[in-house]
Amino acid sequence: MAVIDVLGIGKRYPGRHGTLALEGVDLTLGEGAVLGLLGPNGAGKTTLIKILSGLLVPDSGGGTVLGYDLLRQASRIRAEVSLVAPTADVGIDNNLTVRQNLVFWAPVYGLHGAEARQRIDMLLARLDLEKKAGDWPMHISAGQRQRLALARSLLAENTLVFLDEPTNKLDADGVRSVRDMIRDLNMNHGVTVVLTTHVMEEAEELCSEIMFLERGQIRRHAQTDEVLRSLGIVRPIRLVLGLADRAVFTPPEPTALAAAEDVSWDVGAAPNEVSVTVRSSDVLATTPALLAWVFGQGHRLLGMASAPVTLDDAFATLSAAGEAKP
Amino acid sequence: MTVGAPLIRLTGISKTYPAAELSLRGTKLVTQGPALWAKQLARAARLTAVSGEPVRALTDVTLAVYPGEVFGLIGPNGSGKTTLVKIVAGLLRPSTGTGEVAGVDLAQAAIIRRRVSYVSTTGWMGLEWALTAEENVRFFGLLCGMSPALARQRTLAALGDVGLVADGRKAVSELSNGMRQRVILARALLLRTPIVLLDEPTVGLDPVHRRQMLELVGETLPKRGQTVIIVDHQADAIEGIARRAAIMKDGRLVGVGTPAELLESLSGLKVVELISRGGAQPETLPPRPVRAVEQVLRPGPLGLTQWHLTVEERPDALEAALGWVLSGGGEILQVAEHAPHLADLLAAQAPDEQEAG
Amino acid sequence: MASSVSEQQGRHPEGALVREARTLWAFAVREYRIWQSYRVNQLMWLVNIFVTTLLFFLMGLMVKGKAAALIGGAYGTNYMSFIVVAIALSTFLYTNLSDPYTRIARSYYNGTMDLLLLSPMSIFTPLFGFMTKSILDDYPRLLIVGAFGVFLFGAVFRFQHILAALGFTALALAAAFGIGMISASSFYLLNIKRGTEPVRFIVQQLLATLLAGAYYPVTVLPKPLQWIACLIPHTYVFDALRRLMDPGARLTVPVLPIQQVLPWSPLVVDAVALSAMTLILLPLGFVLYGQGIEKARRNGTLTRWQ
Ligand SMILES: Nc1ncnc2c1ncn2[C@@H]1O[C@H](COP(=O)(O)OP(=O)(O)O)[C@@H](O)[C@H]1O
Ligand SMILES: Nc1ncnc2c1ncn2[C@@H]1O[C@H](COP(=O)(O)OP(=O)(O)O)[C@@H](O)[C@H]1O
Ligand SMILES: [Mg+2]
Ligand SMILES: [Mg+2]
Repeated sequence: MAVIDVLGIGKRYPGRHGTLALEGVDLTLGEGAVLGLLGPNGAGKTTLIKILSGLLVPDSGGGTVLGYDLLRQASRIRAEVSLVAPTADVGIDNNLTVRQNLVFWAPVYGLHGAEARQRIDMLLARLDLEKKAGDWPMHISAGQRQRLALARSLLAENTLVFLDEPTNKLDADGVRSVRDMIRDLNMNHGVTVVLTTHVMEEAEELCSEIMFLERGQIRRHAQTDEVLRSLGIVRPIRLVLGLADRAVFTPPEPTALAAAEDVSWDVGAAPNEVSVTVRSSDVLATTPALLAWVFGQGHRLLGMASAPVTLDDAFATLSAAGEAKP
Repeated sequence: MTVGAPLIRLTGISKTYPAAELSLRGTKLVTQGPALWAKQLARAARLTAVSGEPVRALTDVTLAVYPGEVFGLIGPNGSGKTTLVKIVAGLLRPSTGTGEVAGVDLAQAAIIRRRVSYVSTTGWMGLEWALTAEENVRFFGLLCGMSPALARQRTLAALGDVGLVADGRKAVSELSNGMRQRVILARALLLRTPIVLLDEPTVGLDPVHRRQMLELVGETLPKRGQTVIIVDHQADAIEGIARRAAIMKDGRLVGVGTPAELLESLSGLKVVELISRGGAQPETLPPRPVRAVEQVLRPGPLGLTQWHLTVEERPDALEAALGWVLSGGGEILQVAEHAPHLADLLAAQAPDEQEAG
Repeated sequence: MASSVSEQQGRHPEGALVREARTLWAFAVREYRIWQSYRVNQLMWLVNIFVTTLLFFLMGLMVKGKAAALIGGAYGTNYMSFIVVAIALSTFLYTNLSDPYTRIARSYYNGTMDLLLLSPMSIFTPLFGFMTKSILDDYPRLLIVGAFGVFLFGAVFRFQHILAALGFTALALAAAFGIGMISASSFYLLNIKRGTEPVRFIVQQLLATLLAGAYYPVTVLPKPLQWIACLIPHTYVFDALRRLMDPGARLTVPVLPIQQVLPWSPLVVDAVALSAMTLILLPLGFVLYGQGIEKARRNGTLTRWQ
């Protein structure tokens, strides 16, 4: 059964400007997926997360989340999903220490006594907060606060977790630890994750599927690799080869290299070197074939650089396409 | 560009935050209003104690930033970047050390505050939620003594700079997270003060607006004659736009210079990024030319692994690295070599930090 | 973990009610910790109670001998007893009436509210949870006011009707909490997020302070105002408790205009009025609060983050 299965979700905020935040959004998400919601500021990502977690009522559309009806059983949904807001300060009580914060929330999720203590200890360890357990939230770093917010939301052992910009404001270490945490949740505990991020590299690293939203509409929703492949952008792969036999060099046939458009080559800096450029519409498919060819020929691989299509390209392409529309 | 007198000069700046006040039973004491003197009494009567150690946030920082420069500050969370910026902004008094900002001694903070614009990491707290974005920015100009006409004109320009002209009519309470961040930025662009301090300004911006923002900081502001100090935890942002940068660690400056100068310590090394599919962890240790390995598994049905290898600049290095990864089986889908970035420099410093801690 | 729903229920067969109770306890512990951290302020709090009681003691000295005439035959002859009842009860009523709105506002601004809603507890539990603060704050206050009154300033009480007195108190508190819930619901329902919430202002700041007869019997007011005083629970509970606890008070002499009109004994009138208010206001409070949350879920005003 799909964890999320909704159809035609629309939302217009009331008020002076009555922003149309979402329009006709369909989403089916299977168990164990990591969905990345991407899109420009104001695209409607947060609005969608609020609707799917039961915090906001859609104007149109409906469906189920965790098997509960989005419109009629919103309180059941709220009870069984976890959510981390984009600012880690949300829900952290500065008058309580890191541990006391978690102690307060444990019974809310039905944990008590030794069981609660064990789970809190486990989460503190897993999120690398053990040393900070007795500290006040305002005296720990932004990254640690974000991990505390995560720990709070993980007390519940829910199977569906919404993360709105979870790595905002974190340094490289903080980003690393939060991403590892998300990966661990998904891969080792089967948790389904919906996250938003502005860092495309992060989406590429974490998300099994991607939904691009722009002005409240879906521009693209597919598996991550399919999104990249379907853009049809051609990118070069450059190699520097040390020739096995310096007399002869036969370049590979483009047809033998999956998705390769053409191959060109030039003599290299040293007498037995050549530099080869293969232009490909799918670097991930061409590279293994190309490497197989290089090693099959007995050449030495001295250097290799490719500019694969990334979600950054996808973002640029998709949002430019949106802008071109009237 | 680094000629003439510095616009910002700091000498031997240190900052120590006092320790938190705790009661003897270990609860924190929050003090408000008239309770302040009661607290002093309580401390005299030994009812409370000062907990733990004071926090040393900055140690002996000496730094010069020249007019028209874009100066970057990078370093892990808690390394003292915000503390340093607050001192330059005249919002925080250093424990020791001297300095001058825009020709004014650090002691005269009130004057300094009129010559700097400051975007703080938690700046959205300062927005008035019931007013529109445009009003928030414009009223700030009026409060700072701008004429209504000038305030109107500059507000329009500033909102244009951050791409918020249409959404500027919305109340702040109706704006998305990234839009709110851009309102803060617009407010900081309004006064055109000689110095602009940006503490993590691109947090929450989508890639397109982030790029626009960095362009603005890197090109437009210097053209307007403004001097910028920019803090960003994503080192690549700094690398692209900063003429010079400083690396901070545990409250100290551990390196100052152009990005190229800073990267010199990594000369002789290059980075190999790989994506592999299938295959197990190689059984052997990585061969000689490979200095450091970082690897992450990507969720999803494809079973992809991302590798970030730091290798020596040698002809056989790439093949050795590929061979080692392939020794675990599977296939390699992507190979990209590049010279190290500032981000790699920060990562390279992480291990000995852990040893120290 | 994949089957956490059924697992959680299996692990905690005691069911939802026990969990709600544990949650309330967690709130109480949290409030206690926070209260502790502001402990130095408790000194101010003590001084404040002392000064207030002293003030009325001094006024009591002024009216000495004339008290019986001033406070009327129904409430006995001791001004200190008269006033201590009102001060002690006002604290409770004030909390039940004002705190729901204040605490809801605070938890909205620090972002806890939406997380509380994103959990298995009912939407009302946070409200009750926040009220555990009153147990920490008010119950000691009651004892202290009583103690100051009795031991320092010569208030005297009779305790033979203490159970009835507690019953009246409970009814008044429930009615006040109903008003408090109505006031809290306007946070979301009317989107009053800043400034003065009208329900609270009118009932507590205007009516209860001026008309309920806390410092003087309502009989000193013009007749129309006396009738308005009959609209709020404060008036009845002051009346009832003074009759039951103050020395020399009389159970049968009517004071409030409504007591003079209705053919029942004054205490019965008080009981009926308080019960009716509770039965109307409390459910109304719950319904409006629930509707407020629903409205916020539609308008997108439930959370502050975007
Ligand atoms: N509470 C609200 N009231 C009115 N308009 C809102 C509210 N929240 C968001 N919006 C508007 O809805 C649109 C989508 O916002 P949001 O979902 O927060 O975008 P994202 O998270 O993708 O940046 C924006 O135009 C924003 O201004
Ligand atoms: N107000 C404060 N009180 C106590 N310690 C603080 C305060 N602000 C910052 N610190 C501490 O000072 C150090 C430097 O913090 P900061 O300047 O915010 O670093 P950065 O901006 O590089 O993340 C950290 O250890 C932090 O915990
Ligand atoms: Mg958002
Ligand atoms: Mg900082």
